[in-house]
Amino acid sequence: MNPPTRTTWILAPSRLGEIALGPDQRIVAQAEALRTTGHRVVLGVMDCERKLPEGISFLPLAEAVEKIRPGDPVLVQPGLRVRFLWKLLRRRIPLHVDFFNVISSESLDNFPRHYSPRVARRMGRSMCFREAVLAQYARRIYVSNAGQMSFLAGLVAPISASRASDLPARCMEVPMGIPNHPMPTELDFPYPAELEGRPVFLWGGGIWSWMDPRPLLRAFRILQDRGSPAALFFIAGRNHSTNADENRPMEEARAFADSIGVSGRSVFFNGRRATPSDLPAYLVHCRAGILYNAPTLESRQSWRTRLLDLLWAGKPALVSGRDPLSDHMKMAGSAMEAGDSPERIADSVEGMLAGDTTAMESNARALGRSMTWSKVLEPLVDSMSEPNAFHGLGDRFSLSNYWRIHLA
Amino acid sequence: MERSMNEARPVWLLFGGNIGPMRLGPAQRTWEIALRAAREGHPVHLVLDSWDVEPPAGIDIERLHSGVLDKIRHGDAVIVSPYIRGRILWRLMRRPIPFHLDFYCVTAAEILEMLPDWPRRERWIQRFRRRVRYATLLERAETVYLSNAHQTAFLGGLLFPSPDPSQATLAARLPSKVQEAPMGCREETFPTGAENPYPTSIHGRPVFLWGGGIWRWFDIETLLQAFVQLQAKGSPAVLFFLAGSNPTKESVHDGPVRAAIGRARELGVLGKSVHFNQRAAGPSQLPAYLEHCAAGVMANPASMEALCSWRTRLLDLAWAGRPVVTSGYDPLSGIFSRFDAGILTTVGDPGALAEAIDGLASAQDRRRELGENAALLGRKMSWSRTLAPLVEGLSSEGAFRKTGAPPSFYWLLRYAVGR
Repeated sequence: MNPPTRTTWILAPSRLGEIALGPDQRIVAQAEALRTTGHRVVLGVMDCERKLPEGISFLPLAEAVEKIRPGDPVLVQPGLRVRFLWKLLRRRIPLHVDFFNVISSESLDNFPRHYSPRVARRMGRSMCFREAVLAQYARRIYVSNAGQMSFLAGLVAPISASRASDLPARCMEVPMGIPNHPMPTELDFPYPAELEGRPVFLWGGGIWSWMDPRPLLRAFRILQDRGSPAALFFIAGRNHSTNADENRPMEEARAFADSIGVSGRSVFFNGRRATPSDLPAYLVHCRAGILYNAPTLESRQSWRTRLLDLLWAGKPALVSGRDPLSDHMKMAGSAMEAGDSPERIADSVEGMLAGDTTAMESNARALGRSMTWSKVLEPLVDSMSEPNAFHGLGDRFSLSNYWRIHLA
Repeated sequence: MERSMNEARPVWLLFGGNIGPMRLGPAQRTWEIALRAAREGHPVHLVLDSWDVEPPAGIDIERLHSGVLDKIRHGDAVIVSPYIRGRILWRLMRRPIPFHLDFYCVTAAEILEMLPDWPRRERWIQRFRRRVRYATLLERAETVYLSNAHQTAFLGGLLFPSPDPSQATLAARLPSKVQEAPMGCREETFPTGAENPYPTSIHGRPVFLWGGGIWRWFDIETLLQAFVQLQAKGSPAVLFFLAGSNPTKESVHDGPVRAAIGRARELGVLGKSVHFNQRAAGPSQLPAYLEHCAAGVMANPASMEALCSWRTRLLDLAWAGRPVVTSGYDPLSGIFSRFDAGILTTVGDPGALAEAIDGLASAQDRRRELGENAALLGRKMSWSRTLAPLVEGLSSEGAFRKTGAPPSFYWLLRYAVGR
C-alpha cells in the first residue's frame, strides 16, 4: 500500500522521555512503524525529550490539533483532553482511535471505592461518555482484544444503536507488542543477595486494585511451610504514581504478607525502584513469571504487558487465567494455569520447579517472535495507509455531546 | 419454612412462554433443564404461560402468575428467565428469594439492529427499560448463565454508564457471577430414513440449507450474491431457505423475508439456485431437511448481534452430522471452523463464500469428513455438557443463599415511564 503524501498525526496526552513504557512505548512504536513505511509522522504530545529519527517530528499537542487538515491521517489516544477532542470533532476531522486500553473498565471498580458517590458518579459518567462518543465517532478503532470491543459496544448502545451494532466492522485487533530486538542476556543478578540460588517467581509490575495477590501470598506461605526454596518477588516495591491512592493495593499486599509471616522469607518486595532499563536483568534471572487476576471485567479485557515481557525473555508463566493474553499463552504452551486455591497454586509452583520447563521457554520465545511491535502493528499501518481511510468529513458532532462529556 | 437437609431441593423454573410436543430454541432449553433437574431427583415445578404437553414424572407444570411466588420456600432452587412479564419479575425481586438467571440470549444486541426502524419514543423506552431490567436482574441474581464471553462484556458496558455508581461495581465484578451455559445439541440419535422433503426440482443437487428464519440482522445480500456467482459458473449447488415465510407471529419479521425473496428474484436466482420453502416446516419436519442437505449455510455481517449470538441452527447441523459454511464470524461458527466441522469465510465476501460452497458441493469426501467432525462436536456440546454448570448449581449446598438489595418503587416508576 502506498503511504499518504500528507502528514500523519499521532495525538496523545504523553510526555515522551528517552525511556518509554506502556502507552508511550506504543506511541513510539507506532510512529516508527509508520515512518518505516514512508509516512511523515508528527507526534502531537504534551512534551518530548526524546531524540526522534528523521521522518518523525514533535509538535506540542495544542499546536498540532490546530494544524491538522481534513484528510490527514490522524490517530488519537482516547485520554486526550476534551477541548482538544472538541477541536477535532467540531471540524469533522475523520480519525482513528487507538483504544488499546479501555480505561473505564479499569476504573469501574475504583471510582466508587476511592471517591465520594457524587464524584465517582461524575468521573465515571464523564469517562464512559468520552469513550462512548469516541467509539461512536471513530472511523476505525484499534483494540487489544475482542472483549474490549463488546464492552465498548455496551457503552455506545445507549447513545447510538447503529454505531454500537457496526462496531465490529470498525474494530481491528492491534494489541501491545514486544521490542523487535532480542533481550540482552549477559546481565548481573539484580535480586537481593538472599535470593541467590533460589528459584524466583517474578511479579513483573505494579499491584493494582484489579489484581488479586492474596491467593499467591497464601500459596507462598504453604510453600514456605513445605520447605520449598521458591520465592515470590514483586519488582515494584511500591506503585510509583502521582496518585497516592494507587499505592494502596501495594500497601495492603505488604501488610497481608507481614501478617502471614512470609515477608523477607518466601515473599520479597523490591527495595529499589526498578527502571525499564533494569527490567531485563530481573527477567533473565527469574525462574518464571507469575500473575493472579481477580474475576473482573477488567481482567477479561486486559492485555497484560508484563506477560509480554516474559515472552520477550523466553520465560514461562504461572497464571490464574481470566485474561486474554494468558489464555493465549496457555494455548501456545508457554504458560501454566496456577489453580484457583492457595493449595493448588503451591502445587503448581512445585510442579513447575520439579518439571522441565525447556519446552515452555521455547514456546514463549516462539510466541514472542510472532508478537513483536513490527508484527502486531502491521494491520494498523495498513489501515492508516488505505487511500480512502481519512477521506471526506467525519460524522457530525453535537455541542450537546461536548457538554455532556465536560459536565457529565 | 426451611426444607430439611435430606430433602431434595425443589426446583422452580420461572420461564413463561409455551411448551408443546415439538420444541425449538428457548422452549427446548427450558424442557432440557426441567428433564435434567428431575433426573437429578429434584421435584421440578415448570412455570409457563401455556403448554400442551404431558409432563414426565417428577415435573409439575404450573401457570405463571404471582401466586406461584408464595409457594417458593427459602432455599429452593429458582431459575428465572429475564424475559418473563415485568409484573412477575417485579414481585419476585421485591421478595427475599435468591435466584439464578438463565440469560442465555442477550436480546439487547438483536434489538440494536431493529431500533432504527422504530419511532423515537419507542426506541428510547425499549432501550431504557431493557437496561433497567438487565441492571436490576443482574444485581439481584446470585448466578447468571450466559452463552459466551462477549455477552458478559457487552452487558458490562451497558451497565457502566448508569447514574448509580453501585452498578459500575456490579459491572466490574460481573464475570465473578457469570457461568457459561449455552444452548446444547440434542442427545437422541438423529433419525434417518425420511423421505426427501425438498422440491423435486432440486432432488439430486447439493442443497445448502438455511435452517431457520430470515432475521434482519443476517447478511442475506452476501449469501445471494454468492449464489449468483455459483449459478453463473454452472455449479449444481442450491440454496434452500427452510422458512420461506416469517415463522413467528410478529409482523416486524415479515420485511426481511419479503426483501430476500424480492432480491433473489431481482438477481435472477429465484427458483433456480435459490429456493424458499413454500410449506411451513415444523420442528418434526426438520430432521428430514437436515438429512437430505449437503451442508448448512450462515451469513453474518460484522455486527454486535453476530458477536453475541449462539446460532442454534448450527447445533441442528451438528446433530445431523452436517458441516456449515459461514460468511462472517459468530462464536459458534468459529468453534465449527476450529474443529474442522465447518468453513468460515471473510465477512461480506461473496466470492470467498461461493468458492467455499462450490468446494464442498463438488467434494463429497471432504463434506463427509467435515460432517463427521460436526457430529463429534455435537456430542461434545450436548445438552448434558452445556447445562452442566446450571444443573450442578441446583444441588450445590451454598447456592440459592444470596439476594441483592430489592429494587425500590423509584425503579418501578422509572421502568413504567421509561425514563
